[in-house]
Amino acid sequence: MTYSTRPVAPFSVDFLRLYAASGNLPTDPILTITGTTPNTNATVSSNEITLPAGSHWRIEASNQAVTSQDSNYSELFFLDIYDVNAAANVGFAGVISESIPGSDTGYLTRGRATACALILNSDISTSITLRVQIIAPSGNLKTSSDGLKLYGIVKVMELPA
Amino acid sequence: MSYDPRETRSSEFIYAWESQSQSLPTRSGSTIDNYNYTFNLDTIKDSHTVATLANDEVNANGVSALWVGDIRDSGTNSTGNQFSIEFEDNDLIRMASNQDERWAYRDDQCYSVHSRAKLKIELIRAVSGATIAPYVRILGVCIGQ
Repeated sequence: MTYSTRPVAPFSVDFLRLYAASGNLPTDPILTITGTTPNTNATVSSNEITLPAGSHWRIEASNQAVTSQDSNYSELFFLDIYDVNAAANVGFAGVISESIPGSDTGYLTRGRATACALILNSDISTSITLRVQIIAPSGNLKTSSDGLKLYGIVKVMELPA
Repeated sequence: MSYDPRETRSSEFIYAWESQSQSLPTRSGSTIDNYNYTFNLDTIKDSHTVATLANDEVNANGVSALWVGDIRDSGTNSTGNQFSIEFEDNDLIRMASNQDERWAYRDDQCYSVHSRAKLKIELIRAVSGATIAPYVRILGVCIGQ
């Protein structure tokens, strides 16, 4: 038998649905995470992702459904990947700002709207449990049911340690 | 990690883009409808010459890749451009990224895992008909999962 070798990067990927908020709208909601992880060793339960030791992990999360209330367009809020047991954020927050075009009353803060974290195997003793949450200093959040905003995800990438 | 003689552990990156101008469709309305619009792709590069491009679709020829799709739409519309981009095929859950003219509070790139990649608009409320290319592009990295 003749083999034709193909180059592949040695990591695995799962997508999880990140949608409606549970918890404390309109200020600091924890986002709902659903789905399965057929390709990585991550597990999902009660809106939390558990990553076992033995690998490095790259996590990226982007809210689509949570937005400001209609009468409060000028907002600044942060999407965080939160270590439940350490009670601390990990990685970089997504920076989310809204303003009315042409208005100087809105926030001008700009940054990547996606929260992301690289979690090293050496940072994990047995496992690490994460959730995705929003911190909204000014409140005024709502969950949109707009059909264009239903398909946000958390990307879970398991990398070789 | 198990050994498979058909694979080598190096990275295969695939890039494809459109080199010519392309106008988006024009549509205004207040309802969200299913749509079937394919972004043009006419150029492909990859690090090991294993991928092909035909009919606006990149084919990694049997190996799964993590794909990233992106466009840049500078059009205007009285109600704002509101549509999503996504890949036609996806082995994982559906991922469609909302392209919203007025605000930037979400990831506007779309993702999939599949052996092929065709970038589409499948959900639409309004779009201005702006000329966007060559700002249509996709990037894939073969992962073989």
